[in-house]
Amino acid sequence: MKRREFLKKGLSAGLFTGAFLNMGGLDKIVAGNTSSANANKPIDLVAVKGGAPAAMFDKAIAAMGGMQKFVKKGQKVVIKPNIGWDVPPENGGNTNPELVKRIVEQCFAAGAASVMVFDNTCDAWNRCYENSGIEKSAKQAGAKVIPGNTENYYKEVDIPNGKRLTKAKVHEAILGADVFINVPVLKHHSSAKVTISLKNLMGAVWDRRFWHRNDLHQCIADFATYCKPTLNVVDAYRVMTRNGPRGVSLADVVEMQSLILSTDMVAADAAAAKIFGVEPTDIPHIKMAHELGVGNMNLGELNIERIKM
Amino acid sequence: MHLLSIPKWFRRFFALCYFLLVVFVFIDFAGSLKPHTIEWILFPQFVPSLLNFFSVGGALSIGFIIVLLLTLVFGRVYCSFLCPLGVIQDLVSRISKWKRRYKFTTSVPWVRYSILVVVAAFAIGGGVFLLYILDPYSLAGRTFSNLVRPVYFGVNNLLVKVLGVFDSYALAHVPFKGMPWQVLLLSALLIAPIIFMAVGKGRLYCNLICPVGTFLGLVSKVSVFKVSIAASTCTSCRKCESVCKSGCIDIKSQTVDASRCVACFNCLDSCRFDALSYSAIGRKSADKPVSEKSEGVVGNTSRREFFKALGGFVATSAMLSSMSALGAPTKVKEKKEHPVAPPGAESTNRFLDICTACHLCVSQCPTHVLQPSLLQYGVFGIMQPHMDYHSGFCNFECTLCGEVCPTGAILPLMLESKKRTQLGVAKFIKDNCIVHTDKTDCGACSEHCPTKAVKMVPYGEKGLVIPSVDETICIGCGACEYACPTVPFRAIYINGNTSHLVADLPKIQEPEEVKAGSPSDDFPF
Repeated sequence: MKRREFLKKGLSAGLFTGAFLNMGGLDKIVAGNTSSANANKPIDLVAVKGGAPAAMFDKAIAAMGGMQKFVKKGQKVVIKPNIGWDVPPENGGNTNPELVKRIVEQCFAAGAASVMVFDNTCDAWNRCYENSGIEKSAKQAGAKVIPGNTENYYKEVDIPNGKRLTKAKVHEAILGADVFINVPVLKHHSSAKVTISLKNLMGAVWDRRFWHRNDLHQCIADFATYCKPTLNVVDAYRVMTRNGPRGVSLADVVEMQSLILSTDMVAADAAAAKIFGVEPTDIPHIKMAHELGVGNMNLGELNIERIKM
Repeated sequence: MHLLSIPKWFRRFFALCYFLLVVFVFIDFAGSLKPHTIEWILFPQFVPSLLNFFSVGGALSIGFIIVLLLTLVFGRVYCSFLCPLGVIQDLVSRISKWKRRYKFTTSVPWVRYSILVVVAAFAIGGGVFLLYILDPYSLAGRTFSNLVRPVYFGVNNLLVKVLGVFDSYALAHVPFKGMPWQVLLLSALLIAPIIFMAVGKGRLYCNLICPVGTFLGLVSKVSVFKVSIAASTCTSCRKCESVCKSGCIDIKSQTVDASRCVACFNCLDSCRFDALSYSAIGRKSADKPVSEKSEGVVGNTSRREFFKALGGFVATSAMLSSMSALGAPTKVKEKKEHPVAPPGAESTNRFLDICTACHLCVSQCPTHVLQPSLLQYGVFGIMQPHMDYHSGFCNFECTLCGEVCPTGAILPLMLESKKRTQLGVAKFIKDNCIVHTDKTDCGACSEHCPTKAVKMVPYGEKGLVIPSVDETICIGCGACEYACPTVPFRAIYINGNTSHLVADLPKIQEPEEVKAGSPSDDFPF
């Protein structure tokens, strides 16, 4: 049984690697048309628009140098999408399931030993996992979709550089992973104004109440000083422009067909905020994270690859 | 196998399978059974079905009629085959079997008939309090939900730990949260004497106190099939008496008290001379048909008449522990004037008149918001479930409680109508809100609000936002109260509606003008 599974995994990994190499080749040609990045400097951020979620990710990761740059053979990967709400994908309340699926596939193609997916949800967790479509799609790609519904899964860590948040209980999967991929969905947020990469990490910890109680924006920024994802993939395919973070109706959702990829959470959030239509400087937690040195919100200083599909 | 052993073994097999199914219904946390399946499993439960019949009606509420008909034909088979409390007692008796032999007990009918009359009168005129305290199904339900379920959860959580050692997440940790300890204690105190009685006296509860047993006992007096003793073969060896957990076989008079016989069939194969039989009345083999001597009222002829009339009819029927929020404690106490009843209750009074506190909804509720009450509904509503917004909040997309409720106390709602059912309304206490006291953003309440009845509006000069409630579209789901991080008093809470109302639908705004995000536009950076 185990051997069969091993063979299956090995085989599919091989197939994906093959497919991926092909895509990489194609991308170089296409990327040449729209690229505005300085080819001599490493790319800080990739922005893609006009494609399906999975296709946009393929372009973005290829432009970034391929998944194998971030996921090495035999590594343990944990993916943290936004699965906060018991709503279907078209409501834009959760990360796009197709995007999550493709990221999982790419991880395995790069040789990941295991890929885990979880979120500390707001609505009943198993209903969120199901209704979001993420459980199904991630499992199809071979990921383990793991729970984060009780405190038992979280372990306390110190946050030495935090101003208000000095301790937090973090999901054990993140603590035990080699690679952490943060996959937020870009949304309006009633209290944080927008929710992107930085805010998405609230689902990686247990006690959110503390954050709300003790200066939400500062706590978001504080946690980012401790937890820096390997990659941040911002899903801006369907964007909830108001009534966030849960949304009231489909009329709250605008199809923007965009995606941001960056190793820098602050940069990713600055770019996504612009797509959303707000200035990064107007979002307190982005500004605070920038000031704490988590990343750079000044997009003008970054080497950005822009891809239109 | 002895021919007369077949009924006993059939009963044991059937009862055990059905019992395990019922236990599973009450302890399962994974939603393994569809609500409709649960409905069918609990279909023959007497009291819930009876209440459902009178409160809602419909094909799914005729379980008690079927039970009545079965009783008319076969005697109290409900008690032995279907009653979960009966099976609990049987299991207890069996485990403690080596201790004793049963003896005939003289019936004290006035006790049980008085109880039945009081319970029935109270249920019709006053409330279901006594009924739900004594109803065997509800007693068993509470035992499973409140006492067995935590053990099941514990075993699951232990397995989670073991699997964790092997890096497996095949099972998920389940919290047993929100249940007041007083309710656990009360559940234990109510079941303990029944178990104690079962150890020494078999089915004493069923024949002394249980209102369902008493009522079915009345019916079984005129049942078609009965256990009887053939006086010509009986040697008065008392073997049958010693296996009768109802204590209803009187060897002196060689009679079986049909009103107390639970149709377990244990006696049938106990007799070396096959003097016992389970047969239709009037059959020759039993030369001394069942006598109701001990309580006897109904005569033989009237009984025949009764059956003639009934014949055709019979023939056709077949936690909070993690609330470690620092910051100054809030000072203004919430003014909760009314508790909140679950969606589908229609009104608190209607709900309290029907609910037997079996706690099936409590164990099924995926967010743990439904919890047994203590004194929220008053003393005579103790343990009837209410919405505890410190334990959870009502999942917007969920209608499970109404779908599984066997009594009709919680009516099944269509999702669209549930989403508009106003259980109560949110009340905001600005002086407790940290946006006001700490001048920092929070908005946890609005974040969780599914209708955006709780909206954040500008507050002060620092660009802060503070909650504002639109009561017309609030459905009282309690998401805001649950999420509010202030202690000990929340800055937002739900005040229950005594009668549930229909909330307005949130206004659907025009889709936004696509700004920079339009797929055809250039990047805004």
